[in-house]
Amino acid sequence: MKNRKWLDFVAILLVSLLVVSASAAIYYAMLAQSTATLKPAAVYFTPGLDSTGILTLGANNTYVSLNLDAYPNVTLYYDQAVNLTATAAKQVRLRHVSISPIDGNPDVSNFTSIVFRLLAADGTEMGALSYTTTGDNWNEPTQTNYFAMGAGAEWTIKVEIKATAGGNANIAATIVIGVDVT
Amino acid sequence: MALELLPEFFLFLGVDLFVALALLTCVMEHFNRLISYLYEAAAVFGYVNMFMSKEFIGTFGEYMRFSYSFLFLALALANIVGINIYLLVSKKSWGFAKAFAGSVTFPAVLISTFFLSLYCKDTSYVLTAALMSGAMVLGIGIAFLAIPGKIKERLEGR
Repeated sequence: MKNRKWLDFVAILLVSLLVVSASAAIYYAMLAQSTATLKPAAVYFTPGLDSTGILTLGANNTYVSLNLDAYPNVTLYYDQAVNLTATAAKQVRLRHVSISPIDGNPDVSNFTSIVFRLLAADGTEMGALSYTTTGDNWNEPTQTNYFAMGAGAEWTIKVEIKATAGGNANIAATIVIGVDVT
Repeated sequence: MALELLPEFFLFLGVDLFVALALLTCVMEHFNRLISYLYEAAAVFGYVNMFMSKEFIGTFGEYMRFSYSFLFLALALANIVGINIYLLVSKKSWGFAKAFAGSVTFPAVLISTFFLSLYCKDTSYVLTAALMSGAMVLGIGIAFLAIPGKIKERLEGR
């Protein structure tokens, strides 16, 4: 009878060890498991007051294309080229990605400056990406600092473009900038 | 970064408690040997529950996962308390019941409450836990009161 009790105990102990370690392994696997949920972007582009005719919004408003003009020896201002709208409190910054024509191309010298200014809702300038030229080369910016954008805030990107006096017509520059959100 | 508790932690805790109960009831002289295997089966059921939870983690919401995990833990705790009462009332073994309460019942309830307080970030979780615990106590109470006299006598006779 005593032996039977011990056999029961050993059998239960073995099964217990198995069950507990298997449960722990499953719990550990669940901790390591990650899920990715699709959500709308917390900061997205919206048209500004000067967007008519120059703005093409991409899918889900997370990409935007601006077709801007430049005049020789005149600075053209787009006060609200495109707006940034936040649905949650986030940090945003502007970051240079690429520009063409590339350095060394004579077309570069047709431009004097192209400036992207990030303005808060009250018009305060938070940061700017300023592209200037020296001969056939661009002086490219890197990025602005991060700025806190409150939930529901709508900021704008102002663009200023100036071409050189006597600049040639139909010369185009393509600038890609990123809006980083954290 | 500190890892947050998953709702399945309560399942894991429940499995551990059932395993402990299986081993304890096997060692103690007061119980039929089948009781140990019954508790072991409950522990295996908890493991299966955990496995299902992992497989359907994308389908089940966090609230649902918490509900069935806590229910399992509450069942384990109810069994511990039940054994304590059984030792005290049916077996009239005051010393055993006291030792069991001090070494098993109280620590188990304390540990469960501690982890529940760590996990509950929302009032709805606290209310769910309170509701389940209340339902459990009510269920046990009704079972004790409504159990037919003859069955009661037979159980006590054993």
